[in-house]
Amino acid sequence: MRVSLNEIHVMCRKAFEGMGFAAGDCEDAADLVGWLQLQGLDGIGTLEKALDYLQREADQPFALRYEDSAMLVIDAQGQSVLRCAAAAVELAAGKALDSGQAVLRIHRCHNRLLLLGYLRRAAELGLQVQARWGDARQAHRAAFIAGGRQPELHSEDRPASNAQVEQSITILFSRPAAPASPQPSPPTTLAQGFDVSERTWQRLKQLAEHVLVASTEASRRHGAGGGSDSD
Amino acid sequence: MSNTVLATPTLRPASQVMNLARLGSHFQSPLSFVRSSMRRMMNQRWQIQRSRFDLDGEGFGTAIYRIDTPNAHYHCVIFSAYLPPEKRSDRVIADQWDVTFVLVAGDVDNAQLADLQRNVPLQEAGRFDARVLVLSRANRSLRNFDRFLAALAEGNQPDPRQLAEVGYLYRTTAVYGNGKFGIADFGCLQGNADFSQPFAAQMFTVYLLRHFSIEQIEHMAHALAPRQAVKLAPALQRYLGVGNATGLGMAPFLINHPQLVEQWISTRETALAQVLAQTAEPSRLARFQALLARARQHLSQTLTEDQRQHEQDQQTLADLVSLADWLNLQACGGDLWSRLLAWSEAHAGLCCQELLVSLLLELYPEQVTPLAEQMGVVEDWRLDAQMPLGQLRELIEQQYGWALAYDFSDIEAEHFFWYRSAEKEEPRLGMRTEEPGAEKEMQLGIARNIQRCHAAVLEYLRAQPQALTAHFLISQPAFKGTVRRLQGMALSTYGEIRANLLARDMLPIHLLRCKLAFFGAGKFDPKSSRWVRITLFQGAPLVSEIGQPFDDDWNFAVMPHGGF
Repeated sequence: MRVSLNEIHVMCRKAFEGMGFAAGDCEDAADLVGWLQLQGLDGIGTLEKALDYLQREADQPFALRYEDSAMLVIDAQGQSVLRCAAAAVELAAGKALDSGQAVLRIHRCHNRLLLLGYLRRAAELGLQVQARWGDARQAHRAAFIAGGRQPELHSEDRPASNAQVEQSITILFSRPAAPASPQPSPPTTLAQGFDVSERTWQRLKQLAEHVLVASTEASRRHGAGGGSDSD
Repeated sequence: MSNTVLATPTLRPASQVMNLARLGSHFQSPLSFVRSSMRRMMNQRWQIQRSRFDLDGEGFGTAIYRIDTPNAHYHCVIFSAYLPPEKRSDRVIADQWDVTFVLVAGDVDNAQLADLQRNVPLQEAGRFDARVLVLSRANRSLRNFDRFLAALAEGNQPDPRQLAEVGYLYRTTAVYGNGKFGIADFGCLQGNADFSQPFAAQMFTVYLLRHFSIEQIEHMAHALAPRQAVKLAPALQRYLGVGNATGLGMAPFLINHPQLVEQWISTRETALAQVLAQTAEPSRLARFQALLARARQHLSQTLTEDQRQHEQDQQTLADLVSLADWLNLQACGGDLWSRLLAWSEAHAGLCCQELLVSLLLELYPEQVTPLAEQMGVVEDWRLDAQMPLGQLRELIEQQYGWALAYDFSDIEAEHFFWYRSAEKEEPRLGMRTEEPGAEKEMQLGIARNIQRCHAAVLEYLRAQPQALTAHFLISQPAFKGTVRRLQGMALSTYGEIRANLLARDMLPIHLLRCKLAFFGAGKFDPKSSRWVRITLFQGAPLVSEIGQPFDDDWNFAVMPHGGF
């Protein structure tokens, strides 16, 4: 089915709220999915893959394991980066703006591709951003030039191995030698809308329904305060 | 001496301007969206032509209007159908309406028309694409419709008092834009010179419904009595507006879009400050007197069964008499406008004060109307994670003192909760101690959120005095939304409505009126504290008058008298 960007934002925001995301995280995560969709990166499809984790995980804060002027290590405790990675990214980006370079490492996290939306904001602040992560089969790299809005993505197959691959992501933020010039926005595809899977959309809708309160005759009569419809 | 400018007065403080009851006392002004839409249509000589009008004698069928602007062309497609009495409802929970309609960019071919025919009558249950800019529906005012039809069919003009009582034939119950149900995203209109201002496309579509309502009722009268029927007199056509019924759904918008609220209110306050800086010349004073007289007459012709609104209107009328008496004793020149506003603040109620603001904005169109093109804003929220937490605390205490002042240990302060009903997601208000669902409440209690955040910040600072905002949020992510909001709003003046929306004595209708006044609504007729009917475009030029010279002060329309 074809949906608008606003529908993606609204549906995702409500679905995240239905999953128990905190106010602020709902909007960030929804914005991130919409941004991926605008980049042609199938935000809704990526979110669909994340839903199983998101619905299972407990809502607990990330733990700050180490911090100095150029390094930040976070333990996401098995949660999705959608939950609360935005503040960690902002903190690490701030360190890079101050000292020229900073590294953020997030241990035990899921849905790492989704972090790109937050990294984009750091790039818009004038930082070069490189992210690396991997799974048992592939190693992934994403890079934003300073001022850039679209990432360059590379994936390569890993040799087969029995070694346990940790679910982590490492991001290097660095201030470029020359000031960044903002990259022009890519032409948007708003006017065409976005194709999304109807099944995924229904699943999000079901999650969004968790925020709704069952209607009763009393709430129907008084809750909205509607007057007479005649005249 | 002309256009002498005094020292620019300072803007009114947010503590005064953002008071909820004051916001709920606004009237339309030259900055209102119906006014800027009308100016655009008139100045650019938009052409509106009927390209299809397949209605039967009862007015049921399809009508299409083609609109040509200097920049593009559009079509408005209207479906009119029989509505069973038991289905008649202004609520969002309705699923059938008298008319349903869309504004479409470009042409409409047969395939799209067939698609629209299937989907537009379904409204929220239909699916659309980005060629559709606006989706809306409306119900007839049965009383006016029947009376008008009978009069016109008998060769008579309807009694204008009926229009003074209810100023329209149709009442819209929702006007959707911005990507709803697949229609064009707001971003699609960003480069569109015709509709880039907020709600411009929606207001224009409502204007087209007014035109359709005139053509439809004339068609029906002619079908009923081809030999006797007459057209609606132009003076009555002008006095005919479009109604709107609005409930709580409008309230969350103002809380959830503080940057837009900031833009609207600061533009209005800037315009006011510019007007107050002018020396009152005799010609402007005479014009003000004329506008004041018309506004008084308009208000005296505004009827409502709502006791609170009626008393407020009567108080405003009495205040306006006193204001006129005071003004008659004043000489032109100098800082008369500032003194007039100060007089109203000392001696009159909020409605009189805000009506005065609207009238003052009419006096200097060369200063004010350009500002109406700056009502849009690209909303953007940035979290400043590097901000020292101590600074965040100071920010809260300096900028949100109003929010910290509420006493939430008092049960009355959290009496209400806002929620979305499972029934078409209709926003509703529940009583916290008596109704289920509070755990799913919408986050509209900004003052309470600020207090909770402030308490958590104080506690965190006790353990980590040097912490940054990021440290606090990594530890307590639940406050991110609140922190980002207050950081974002700290540099603005008017974005936050200074009220506790959970309090027992809170009147949601103030929020509705504030937004509706920016739309350009008149004739506020509350049906409860949560529901209001209003009229748009009453007094506006007709489609046939587009391109002719016009006075951009058609607001506060008064009832025409005889001789039609």
